[in-house]
This record gives sequence, C-alpha cells and structure tokens, in this order.
Amino acid sequence: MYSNTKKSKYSMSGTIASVTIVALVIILMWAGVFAIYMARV
Amino acid sequence: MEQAKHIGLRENVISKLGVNPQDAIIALTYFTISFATLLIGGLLGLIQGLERAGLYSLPAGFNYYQVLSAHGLLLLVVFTATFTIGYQLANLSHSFNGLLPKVRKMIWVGIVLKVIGVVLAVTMIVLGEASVLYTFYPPLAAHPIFYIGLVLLVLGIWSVAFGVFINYRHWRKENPGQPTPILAFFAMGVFVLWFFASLGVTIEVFMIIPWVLGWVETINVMVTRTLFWWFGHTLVNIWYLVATSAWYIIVPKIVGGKHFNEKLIRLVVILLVVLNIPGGFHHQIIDPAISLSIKFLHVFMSLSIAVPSLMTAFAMFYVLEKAGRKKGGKGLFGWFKKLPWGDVRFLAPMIAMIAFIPGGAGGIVNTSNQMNQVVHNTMWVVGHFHVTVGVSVVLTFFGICYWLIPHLSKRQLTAKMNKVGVIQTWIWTIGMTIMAGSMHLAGLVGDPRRTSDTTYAGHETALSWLPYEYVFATGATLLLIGVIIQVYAVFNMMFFAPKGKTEYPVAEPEDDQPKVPMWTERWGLWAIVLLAVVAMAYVIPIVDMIVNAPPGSPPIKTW
Amino acid sequence: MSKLEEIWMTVSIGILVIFMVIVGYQTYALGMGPPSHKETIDPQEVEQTAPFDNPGLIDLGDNQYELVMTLEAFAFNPGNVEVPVGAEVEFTMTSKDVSHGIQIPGTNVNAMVLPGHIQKITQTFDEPGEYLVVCNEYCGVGHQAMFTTITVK
Repeated sequence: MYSNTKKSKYSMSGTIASVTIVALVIILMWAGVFAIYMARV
Repeated sequence: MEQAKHIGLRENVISKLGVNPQDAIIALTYFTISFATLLIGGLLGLIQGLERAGLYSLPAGFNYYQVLSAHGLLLLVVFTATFTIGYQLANLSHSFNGLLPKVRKMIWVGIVLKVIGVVLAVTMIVLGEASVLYTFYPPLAAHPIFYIGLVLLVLGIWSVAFGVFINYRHWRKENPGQPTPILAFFAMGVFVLWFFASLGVTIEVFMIIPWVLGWVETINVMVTRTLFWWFGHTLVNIWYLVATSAWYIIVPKIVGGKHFNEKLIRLVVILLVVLNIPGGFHHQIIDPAISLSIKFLHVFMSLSIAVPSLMTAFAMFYVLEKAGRKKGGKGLFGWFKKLPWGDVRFLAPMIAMIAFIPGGAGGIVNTSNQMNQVVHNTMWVVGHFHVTVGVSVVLTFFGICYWLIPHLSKRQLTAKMNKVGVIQTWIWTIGMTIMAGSMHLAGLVGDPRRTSDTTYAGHETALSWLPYEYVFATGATLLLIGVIIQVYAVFNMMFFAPKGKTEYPVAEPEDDQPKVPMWTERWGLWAIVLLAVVAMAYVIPIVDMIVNAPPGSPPIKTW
Repeated sequence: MSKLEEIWMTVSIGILVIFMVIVGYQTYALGMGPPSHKETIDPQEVEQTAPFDNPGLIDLGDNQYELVMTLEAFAFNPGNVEVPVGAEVEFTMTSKDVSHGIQIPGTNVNAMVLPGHIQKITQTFDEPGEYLVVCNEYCGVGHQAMFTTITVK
C-alpha cells in the first residue's frame, strides 16, 4: 500500500511534529472533559 | 447541441480567463446578500452578548429570543448559504469555462426564491411571531409564514443544486473519460450533500405546516426533532467541505506550492459526503425514546466523520511544510516562519485551519456518548461552534474574499486592502479566542445556552457565571468591529478598488502524480451509498418513533 | 498514501477507537450510558396519568429516592426538594407542554425532557449544598426564569 514516490528531498519533521500536536490536543481535551465527567458521577 | 459546440470551440481560447462575466454577476449578487446579512447578524450577535451579560436591555417589544432567532437564521442559514453558493458557482464557472445559460436561469430563480423566503421568515421573527430559534423544535409553533419562508429557502437551494448537477452532467458528456477539475468535484460534493441533507428538514416542515394551520391536530415531537438533526449537522459540514476546498486547492497556490495527492483529496470529499448524515443523533444523545445502541451507532458515525478531517490535517501540514522548505525554511518549524503571514489570502485560511484543531477536538468530546451530559445545551457548545463555524469556516470565507471579489469585479487587491484584511483577521482571531474560550469554560461550569440574562434569583452558581459573560461581551465587541471592517473591505473591493486583473489562485498537482482515477466521478454511486448509510442509521429509530409514538402535541406558543 | 500518512491515520483512528472503548465499556458494562428512557405518555393528560398525578419525592429506603417531577413552561414541579447527603435520587420526568431540558450544574444531571415521553436519570448527591436546577432547552419567553433548587443536607 506504500506509494512508490521517491523519498522527497525535503524533511517531513515539521509534519510529524504538527500532527503530533493535533493528536495531543485531541487527547488532552478529551481527557480533561472525561475527568470532569468522572468527578461528577 | 449548438450551445455545447459553441462552448467547445471557446474551450482553449478563454480557458485561463477565469469566471465568465455573467457568472461573475451572479457570484457578486450572492456576496452582496451574504455580507449585508453578515452585518445585521453580527450586530445582533453583539446585542445578544451585551444583553446576556446584563450590560444592555432590549427596547420594549423585543426580547433576547427574537434576537437569537434572527442571529441564528441570518448567519447560520443565510450568510453561510449565500457565500457558499457564490464561491462554488465561481469555482464551477472557472472550471467549466462558464455555466450554461439555462443553468444561470435556474440560479437566478434560486436567488429570488431565497430572498423572498428569508424576508418572510425574518419578518415573522421581527414581529415576534416566530421566536422559536433557528431549530424551531415542535411543539413550539411559529406563524405559518415563517415555515413557508423556510420552504422557499430550501427550494432556492434546490434550484441552484439541480442547476449544478445539470451543468456537471453536461461537462462530463462534453469531456468523456476526463476527470472534472478538482474545484468542480468539491462543488459536486457540496451540492450532493446539501440536497440529501435538506430532505430531512423538508419532510419535517411539510409535517409542521398542516399542524400549524390546524388541519392536523397533533404532531410527533420525536420524529420532527430527529428529522431536523438529520439535516442540522450535515448543514455545518457543507460549509466545512466548502472551506476545505479552499484549504486543499487555493492555499497551496498562495504559498507557492502544489496541491496534495488528488486521489486522496477526492477520497476525503467522498468520505465526507457519504458518512455525514448519520451523525445526527449526536445532537440527541440525552433525548428520551432513543435506545442506547442506536445512540452509540451515531456516536461511531460522528467519530467516523473525524477521519477525513484527520487526513486533511496531515495533507495540509505536508503541503505547507513542503512549500516552506522550498523557501528555505530550516529546522523543525523553520518552514512555518517562511509562510506568507503578511498575505491575508493565506493568513485568514491558515488561522481557520489551526482553529479547527481545538474545534474538531471539541466535537470529538461532544459526541462521546455520556460525556455529552457535561456539555449538552451549555455555553461549551456555543463556544464549540463559534470556533468551528465562527473561525474555521468564516475566516476561510473572509480570506477567499480578498482574491475572489477583486477577480470577479475586474479589480485589484491593493496592498492597503491586504493590510486591512490582515488587521481584520487578527481582530477576528483575538475576539473569537476571547469569546469562544470563555464560552467553553462557562459551559463546563454549567452556564446554559440560549438563555437570556438571569441570575436565577441571585443563586450563587449563576452569579459565578457572570464574569465569563462579561468576557463574552468583550469578545463580541471586537467581533462586531471585525465584521464592520470586513464588510467595508468587501464592498470597497467590489466597487472602489482600482481596475485590474486579480489571479484566480488554483494550485496545480505535483509533477509525478498519477492520473486521477475515474471511479471517483461516480456520483450516482456515492448518492446510493449515502442513502444506504442513512438508512442503516435512521430507518430503525424513525420507524420505532412512529410505531411506538405517544399521542402527539398540539401547537404551543410560549412567547 | 505515503508511509508517514498511514502511520498517522493508524494512530489517530486508534485514539478514536480507544475513546469509543472507554465510553462503550462505561455504557454497557457499568450502566453509565446517557438518559434514554423509552416510555410514553399522553402529553395532554399528564396530570391525570400516574405517577405524575401527584409529583413529589418518594423515599425508597436506605438513602434512595425517586423524584417524580413534571416540567412545564417555566416551572419544575415539585420545586425546592430536600434530600440527605449521599442520597441516590432517580429523577422521573415528563413535560406538560414544549421541549425542556433539566441540568444540575456541578453534577452529570443533564437530560432532555420531551412531551409525550418519560425520561429518567439517576444522580448521587455526595456533597452537601443548595444545587441549582435549570431548564437548559429554550422553552419560551420565561425560559430564563425556569429553575428550582435541590438542597442536600
């Protein structure tokens, strides 16, 4: 399934860092509201 | 057929001329309506924010819920719909080298129907006959003319949608074996989704009108509510799809890059169209009469809509990093600094995309089944949609204005107007961050939405919300300033900016990209898959609500 | 799809799946799902239909209560209820007119109460205090005045 485009000569570290930030925001917001939910059960 | 041959001949001559002049007039008409509505709706938003914080009281004869109904209808139904259609028609005209004359007629019919519909609906609201908010949940019953206005509005949208479908089929017949230009593909996605989404609310309104006129005694509250939310969330995803068309295809050109792998872009569009409608019950997670399993199915469907957005996140960062690196950006975020932050055509959609990170994450929180009990009907939800619609969609729309309106008006985007745009974008961003941020926090501590100024007889919990409400009002003030600047910029670029030519910034694919597969063009198939997915999620609950329905409710006017 | 994008999609979808597993486990194994009671009533006959013919607090023994409550344009009935600390209260509600919503800030009590349908939600009040109970679904011109309190002593 991996595309055969040649390894682009530009580094992709920025993309990796950025999508990691996206994942962190999703996890943190969810965990925060989940904690509030559990505190109020 | 003579018409088709004629267009074929002109194909190569004007292919780069962009939007056909007659289509430009249509798009500019839509934008005029759009930004006039934004001015009124924005002003109402500030009035709401001030009233809610107890800083302003409405004159006699008017109440908060009238303002809220008008603010909702004008911005969420009129401003967004008219801008969407104006922008999509410009894209279609650009992609197809001009719309067909008969399609233009259908679009003008659409404009007239929509304007009449809006005038009818808003008049009823102003007269106090329709303070039912833009969700108009039965048994709340507004004046019948309000609902007739909504019918005309939907007919106006259908008239345009069918025009688009006809023009699309014509282009496909004229160019057998050729994939449509990507912007036209997005437009098809928008109008296919819009048509199928509107079926829900159309059935609902056709249930309501005889009930409000008294021909039918009672109405099924659960069915009408479910039919509304069949339409509700998908409506917001239609503008999101419009915004992503600018993110994927316009922004890469402005940063000097190429657009992402077209097959994957088309996959994102198809996924958004097919998966969208069955998320509806995430607005009804804490309703009675819907079983836990059906609710959980809709939670799954709502989370599945996040997948195309996660693909978009990757694609946009990939494209932006590549463009930034090409301009010499070094290190982890060097590319980020190299992006054209001074160009409003980039700045506005970029902030819009960044805002969708907390916006989308908030949506994932809202739809997580019982966690919805923490936030349902609180100011958190208001904060959520002011981030997702108020920033992610609206700032993208504002950013589009700065190249599309000069282009359509055969004028130039001057450095001064670009500066005005940059200032407006920052004012908007700060205003929304303040307002939507405090709304999120107020919601978590219980501040209910859609409730006018009250301290519940001085109850300490209610008093604890007041500081947040002052912050709403501050943010709302900044936002009205932003609205005024944007409306000034739009009409300046439409009528007063110097004559000239503005580029229609459509990004090209990468060099080594394979040809786009034709199976992506099978809209008949996507419509069937869409209906199958909707049937999976809605047939059982709706049949259950009809078969096991309680005696219905009569029309009630509690205002 | 590049290898990097595949990793991203696997990780991000994995996160969503984990959310669903957590929330699904709570719903199906621990019975913490959202309020979804399936029982109907004639919305124009609420006052004549048991148990809503005399709404009130019913003591079920060992600190468990059932609060039978009707919601109408702009009042909760009964209002200003009192329960001891640690009481587990099951709210049994319906609406006499339009759509309402019951929300008790500081707790997870948040449920839509619709005409023609009986809604149930349960909450344990461990902390003493005067809890504000508000209607959080627009129900008319007096919607902002539709509130009551639950005092936990």
